[in-house]
Amino acid sequence: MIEIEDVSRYFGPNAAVESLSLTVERGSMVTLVGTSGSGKSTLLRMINRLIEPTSGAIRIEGRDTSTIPGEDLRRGIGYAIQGHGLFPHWTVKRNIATVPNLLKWDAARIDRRVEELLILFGLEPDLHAQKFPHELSGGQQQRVGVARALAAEPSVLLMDEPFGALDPIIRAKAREDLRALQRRLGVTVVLVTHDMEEAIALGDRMAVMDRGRLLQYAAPAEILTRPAPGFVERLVGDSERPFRLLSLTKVGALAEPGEAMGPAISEDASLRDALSELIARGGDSLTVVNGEGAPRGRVALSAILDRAQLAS
Amino acid sequence: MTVAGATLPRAGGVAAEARGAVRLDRLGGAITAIVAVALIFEPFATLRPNRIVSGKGLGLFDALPAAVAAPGVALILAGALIALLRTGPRLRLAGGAAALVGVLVIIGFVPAHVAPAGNPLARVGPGAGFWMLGFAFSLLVADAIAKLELGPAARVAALASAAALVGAILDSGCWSGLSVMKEYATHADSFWQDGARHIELAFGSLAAAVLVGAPLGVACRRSTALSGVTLPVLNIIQTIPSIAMYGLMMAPLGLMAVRFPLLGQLGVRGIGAAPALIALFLYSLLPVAANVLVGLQEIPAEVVEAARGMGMTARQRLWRVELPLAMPVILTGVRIVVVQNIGLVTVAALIGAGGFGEFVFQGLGQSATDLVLLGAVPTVVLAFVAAILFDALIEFMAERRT
Repeated sequence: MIEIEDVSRYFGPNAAVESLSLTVERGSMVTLVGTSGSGKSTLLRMINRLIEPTSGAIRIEGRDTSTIPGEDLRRGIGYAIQGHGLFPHWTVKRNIATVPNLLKWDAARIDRRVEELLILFGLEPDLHAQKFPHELSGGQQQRVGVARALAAEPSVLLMDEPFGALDPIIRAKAREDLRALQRRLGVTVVLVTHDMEEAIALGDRMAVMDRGRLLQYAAPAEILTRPAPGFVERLVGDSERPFRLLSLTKVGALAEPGEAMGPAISEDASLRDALSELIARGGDSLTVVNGEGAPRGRVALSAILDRAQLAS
Repeated sequence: MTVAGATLPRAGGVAAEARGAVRLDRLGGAITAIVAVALIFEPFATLRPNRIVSGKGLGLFDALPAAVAAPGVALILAGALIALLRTGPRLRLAGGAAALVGVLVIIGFVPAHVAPAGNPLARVGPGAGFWMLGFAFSLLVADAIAKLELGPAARVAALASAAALVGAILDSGCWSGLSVMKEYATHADSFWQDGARHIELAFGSLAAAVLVGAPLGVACRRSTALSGVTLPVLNIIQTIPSIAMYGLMMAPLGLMAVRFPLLGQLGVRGIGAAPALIALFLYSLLPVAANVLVGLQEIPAEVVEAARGMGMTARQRLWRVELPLAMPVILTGVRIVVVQNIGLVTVAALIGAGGFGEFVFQGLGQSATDLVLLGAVPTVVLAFVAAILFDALIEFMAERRT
């Protein structure tokens, strides 16, 4: 759990972050979203004290971070940034082993951990461990960056625009992988992004920031359906909003008993996928199937449109 | 020039091929012109009655017995022909190297052929033609090596084989009749002493400059106030002419030696090695400190950010990340210093510091050109070898990560 309590940061007379309070539940993923200059990166960097707060307190698992030496604190927190920041003169293996080396793990333990992480991130150890970062693709570099951040098994992972340097197709895949990984490891993640789509797709909760202040902190569905008046409303209130809302709900939630003439769709697919399927095929309902392909009922076009109405 | 020669005329080259015309190489044309002028108009060697008077020039066929001159000229013409035609870089390297070795070897046959028997004072030396041929074929070899795009290891190997070749020629006694080697024979003891002194001065001042300049560069990276003061001062030092700098060192060091006898006992005096070392050290500071600063500045911001975010201390960042990444740029600065110092040490002979400059200034004083060469040629060779070795090292380090 990360508790941010009345934290401010001034650069000269200007407030980058102003009396901001926020709690991140253990094992959850929170996205900080805002325009550039909103203070979201400053807030993130105050959590591992790359930037010291001017006032206020930050506690991780109940411990006030200002009582821990900065370097020790940072070795205990994963940190992944845009453009990966891999050390170009070190092999993939040595890059991933950065923090374990700083913590003076023994060699055998480091070897085991690096191999484990490479496999976890879909990189063949024999093939990739001894490569240099420039020999990897952009997506691979990004994965090694996250693997490095997780190497010393931190309970908290901070990410600053981690997918910013990736092209859109790889980015979508990287998001999915991160979500699955976070669930699997149960690590607490705070992720900074300027991309609404990304904030909605990844966050258990999202914090919308503007000019150093926290405007709204809620689950994505709530921010889409009940945006705070003013900036947040403008931010989410564009024509994409109904689709974003639909993308948050799974087909299973709207399944009703009955037979449909339409083609089948998995109950784990999003309503957004169901809607585009219906638009593409014509028809007014789809057959909902479970993971094994057994029918679970139907989902009607009218129900999907009703759900989308919530947003407007 | 080489790139243009290789690619530009391609469109025209197709037409030329269609006409069956011979395609010529531009650089090769220049090389051939130099070779032609050297063979026809310039003396290959000079013969002088003694070491200080000026002598008369001898053409290649006058200077050599026909049995040596004929194959020599054949090698030279073959080399020129290979240069002139559009040939592959390997053939150009082989042809250029063969011609160069040929020129170097046949000059050794001149003394026996032209020196009057029983006259130990007569001096035979290389003439303008020899130097021009040497220059032309060195150009051909250098151009071919550049086109081959040899890696650092291969270039060092090429340097080593060239050194072995010259060593073998020297060892064979082939050149012992030449005037420069006669000067060497009379100065053999002091030659190696001064050579060692030359290297000590050049590299000793470099070591001191790295010890002081590298921390200075790191400090400049951390404080713009410091770099704002330091770099202009070091820049001004660089503009002081070397002779003036050596002169400026003499008075304060002389006084200090008188004031503090211990320093005098340690060898600190107004003249000699101490002022030379200090002057060279001052000249070396700017390239070292400035390149450390630039090398550190060029490291991508996100790499430094990541190092901080991983929990590296400032010291760990510096030694594990920043300095290794800045190393190619730092070594470029060190390379500048090495080549610069090897040249500047020559002048330090004026204040009695020793080094190959001793022979240069003695030779100037006695108007003995051969003695000047005995100092100048090793200096040039030393600087050349150091430059190649450092370039290879820099490339080797940069290659591993880009």
